[in-house]
Order: sequence, then C-alpha cells, then structure tokens
Amino acid sequence: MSDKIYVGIDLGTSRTSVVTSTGTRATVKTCIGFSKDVISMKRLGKEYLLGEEALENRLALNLIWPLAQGVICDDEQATEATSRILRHVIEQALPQQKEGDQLYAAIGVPAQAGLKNKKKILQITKGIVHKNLIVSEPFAVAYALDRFDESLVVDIGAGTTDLCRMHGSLPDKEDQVTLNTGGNFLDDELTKALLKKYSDIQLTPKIIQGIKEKYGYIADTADPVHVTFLSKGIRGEYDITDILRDSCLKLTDPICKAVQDLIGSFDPDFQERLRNNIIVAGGGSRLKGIDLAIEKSLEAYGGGNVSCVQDAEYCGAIGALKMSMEMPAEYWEKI
Amino acid sequence: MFIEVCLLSLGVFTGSELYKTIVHNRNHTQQKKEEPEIPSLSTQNNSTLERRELSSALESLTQEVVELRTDLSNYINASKEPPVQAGAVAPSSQQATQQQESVLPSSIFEKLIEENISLRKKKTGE
Repeated sequence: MSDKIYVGIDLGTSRTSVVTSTGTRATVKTCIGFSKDVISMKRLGKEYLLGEEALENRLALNLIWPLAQGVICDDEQATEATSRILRHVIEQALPQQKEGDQLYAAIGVPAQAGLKNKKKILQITKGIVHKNLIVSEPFAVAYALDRFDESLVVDIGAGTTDLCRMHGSLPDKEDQVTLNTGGNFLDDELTKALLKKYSDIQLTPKIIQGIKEKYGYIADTADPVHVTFLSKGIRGEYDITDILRDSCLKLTDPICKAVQDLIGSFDPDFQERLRNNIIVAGGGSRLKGIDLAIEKSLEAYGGGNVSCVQDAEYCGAIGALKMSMEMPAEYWEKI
Repeated sequence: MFIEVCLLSLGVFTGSELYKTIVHNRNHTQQKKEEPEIPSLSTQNNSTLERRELSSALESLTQEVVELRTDLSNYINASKEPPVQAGAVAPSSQQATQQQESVLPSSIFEKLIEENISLRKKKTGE
C-alpha cells in the first residue's frame, strides 16, 4: 500500500537538509565530485561522489558546488548536480520508501530568490517528488518556531543572509531582505586577511572553515586565538585574534544594518515588540556573540532581545516539513 | 413439673452464657499476650513524625515527577523534532504521516498556494 509522505527540504549553498514526516532526517554537503580521469574512476568505483564523501576524496575529483548565493548556478551541470544531490539526500532520509509512495515536499529558498531560480527548483524536484511547494527560508524558520507575530528572523547561510519580518501573515516583499553575504563570504575575507599578514602559510577551505566554526566571534573582548598552520610543511603557531574578529565583523555589520532598517521601517506601534523578538538561524548563528552584537546595534532604538536557534542545521527543513503537514489537503490538490 | 422445666432451661441458658464469657475472656487474654508491647508515648510520637515527614517528602516528589512529565511532554509537543539519525524510523511514524491541524489561519496557506500557482504560470522573462 502506498503512503503519502511529507518532506521539508532546506536546499542550502553549503548543506542540503531533509526532514520527513516518517520521523527521519538527513543532511549532506551540497557538493558533487566527478572522477578526474579513468584512474580515479577505477579507484573510487563510481563516476561521481556526493557530499562529505566527495570532500574526502577531493584530490581525485572535480568538485562542483552547484549552488552559489543560495541559487542554482546557471548551467546544465549545476542543474544535474542539484538533482543528484536532492535525490541522494531524500533516499538517505527515506530508506524505507516504497515505489508507490507519494512525496509532498516544501522547499525553502532564499527570501528574495528570483523567478528563474524558483522555477528551476520546481523543475528539478518535479521528477523526485510528487507535489512541491516553494517557501521563503526565513519564513520556514519562523514556522518551525511558531513565531508568527512581530518577530524578525535572520537566517545566516553560507551563500546569503535572509531577513524576514513576521507580523501574523505571510510576509510581503518589503518584509524581506536578502544580503549576498554569508559564511562563504566570511571564509574569503578570513583567507585574504590571513594571507595578507602571513603570506607563506598554507590554507585550504577546510582549514578556514574549521577555524571559523571553532573560534569565530564578534565579542569586544575574547581570549587570544592561536592556531597552528603549515608554512612550506613546517608547523608554526600564529595569533589570529584580531584578524578573525575583523573578518567576522565584515559579515555581521551589514546584517546589523539590515536589522536596523527593517525595524526602523516597521509600524512604530509594533517596533518594540519586533526589537524584542529577533531570532538568528542558519550556520552563522553559531558565531560567538552574534546575538549580543545585534542587541548592541539596537541600543539607539531602545535595545532588543536576540536569541539563536538550537538546531541551526535542520531548523529551516523542520519549518518546511511542518508547513507541508499542516497545509490542508485541498490546497495541495491545487498545485 | 413446669417449674422444674423452667429452672432447667434457666440453668442451661446461664451455663451456656457463662461458658461463652469464659471462652471470650480466655481468647482476649491470649490475644493480648500475642500483641507486641505498645511503645512509649515519646517513641510513638517520633515514629508518627517520621512517617509524616516521609509521606510529605513522597508527596512533593510525586508532584515534581508529575510536573517534570508535563514539562517533558510539552517540550516534545512544542519541538516535534524527529530523531537525529538519518534513516531511523520514529516509533510514531504512522501518526506522523497523518495531516496535522494548523495554528495558522487558512488565509496564509491560501496566499502561499496562490503565489506557488502564479509562479508556475509565470514565464521566466516576466
């Protein structure tokens, strides 16, 4: 007997997460690696590898990250790669899926993703799920947390940062802002700054990401950050305290400015409530002191209250799933 | 003759009552012997106090357990998070596939569906 299975998908630049109504979930790095040559294909035994497996074997592969700044890159290869990644992560999340099962999916996309990109996502998912629904990623986060009234969601992803003002209804265009900066921007800034100061150190995206995730901070005061780098193969300890903070501020300053703009342009009667209900989601919510930095930026407005989500990896997908499950059946039939 | 019968009946009756009374008294004495000694007044008070304290502690513990269980069930209902492991099936999977009732007005869903329908109709050039 076939079942109706609801799926929430967060198709992110860095990570794709899937949560299903059967109580399962899976996440994978949004990357695919194709074998460089016959030798690598023979060694790996496959034409391509996905996610973490691809990263582990990246020296033998041509790595592709099909999403840039939250949208699918405009080429055939990226479309095909996204389709394979989606199929893979859904299979991971639903190993017990039967042939006749019907998948009803809600897919989170950046708040201001273009029409072309949304249509492309619909087209890709058409062959994978039976019904698909596009939802704004920050709205999905608000949905996951049941924060529909006067709250502001700041979703800091790898490719984009999405801000969305909630006021008890579906957010309009003016309630949403997408900044084309996110975790990847911070990685680039940190790499540039480190190489400027220590030109002979050896850096890889993995090293930078590790430093960001472990030490990234925005607080005014912090313990010194000393890390070990290789310089032509020789180990050495380097102080990166100031470099790290300055790079993080390059990411968070525009976010604080966008938060101020969204609050300042809101109905004055509800601004206080909005200021006191700010939620930071996405991978960027793990930056130490991000909540305090946003609160500090609102001092002139009368202060604010900022909290970070607990499950940054799955929060968007959970919201999308919840939405798809709560959507009345007759609405699903319309699409 | 009549008087003799009356006297005899009275004798039998009296004898029987006397016998019952003797047996009852004997049983009562034995029972008294078997019963443990009644503790002194102070000991009795102490044990009553201890029992009361224990009972009140047990009551507050029970209350705490009830509160914790309520909190836990509220938390589970609020988060509704699926288990961490990929591919693992939650025990309530059958229930989870059923549609849930929304806390949102249906107008939000209406708008969302309208947007999605118009998205499908629009041409990329628009």
